[in-house]
Amino acid sequence: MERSEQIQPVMVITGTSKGLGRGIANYFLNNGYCVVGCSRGEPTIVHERYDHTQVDVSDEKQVQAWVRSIKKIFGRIDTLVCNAGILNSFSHVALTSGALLQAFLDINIAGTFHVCREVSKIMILQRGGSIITISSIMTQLHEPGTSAYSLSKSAVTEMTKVLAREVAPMNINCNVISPSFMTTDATNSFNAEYASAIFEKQTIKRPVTIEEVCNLVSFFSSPESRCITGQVINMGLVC
Amino acid sequence: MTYEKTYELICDTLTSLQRSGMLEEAIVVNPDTVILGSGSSLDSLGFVTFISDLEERVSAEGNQDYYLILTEIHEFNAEQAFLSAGTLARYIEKITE
Repeated sequence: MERSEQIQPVMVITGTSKGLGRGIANYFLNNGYCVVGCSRGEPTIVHERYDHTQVDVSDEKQVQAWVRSIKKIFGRIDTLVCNAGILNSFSHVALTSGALLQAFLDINIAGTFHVCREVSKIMILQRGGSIITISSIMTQLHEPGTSAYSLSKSAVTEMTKVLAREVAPMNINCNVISPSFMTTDATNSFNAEYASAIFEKQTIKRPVTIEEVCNLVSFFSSPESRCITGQVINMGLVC
Repeated sequence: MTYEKTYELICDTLTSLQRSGMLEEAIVVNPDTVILGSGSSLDSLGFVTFISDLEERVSAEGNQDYYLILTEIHEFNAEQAFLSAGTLARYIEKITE
């Protein structure tokens, strides 16, 4: 995609091959945005205003090159949604291998950190922007078997809050969306019994929809949310 | 990239910061001018802005992507952060050669 005279707002989303990331990308493409996405695999979205790059967000250099290319092509980034992450393989702490733990550290924490770091530099120079990271209510439910996943999401939340304080003087807002159980490719592997048990613990006892998450992303991308930063919006759960 | 060119890019970046209002006064730059640390005119966000802007200028001048990584500067001590214009210029000269 060539930048030429693109005047639509530019949204960067990580992890757009499926699930929530793809849903957010399609939502904002339908609402006139230029969307720049990435995943480790081939693109699954075909749209004239969608640009895709194969990026492993845990690879610092790949992320640097990708974000630098976005700046060259589009000139600016208005909103960043850090969605890429892994959810697979729940196991008790005592049964969690070092390799599994490292995967969560590399992708969910370092991957999010790399992208936020590079995009925040662009937003600092443009004196504005919105950064949204995705957490999970598992950080509130503390479900057995979710230690590696939950700790990674808690780390992302803390990083987002620190970043919010660092870049606030540059009119950059950073917030966390923490959805309760969603029906996506990532959660389809859970059995119905597990899902039901989680719903029972939620305040709103049903899955959060992708559209509901998009509504929040839309709010955080808008001028109406300019006074809100460093916040965690828990969807479906009273914490 | 020569030392003189990298030094010029540093000066240009500081001038740009001053014009944007991030620096109250223009800095007279010499190799000993403190960019980071006690005596610097830049606060923490100002320094981040300076490095981000300088990174883009160096990349544009060198026609390829360069990244300024403080911990790769030989003289840089992260525990007692201090960086002069001259040290930074020499570092950029080194990574762009």
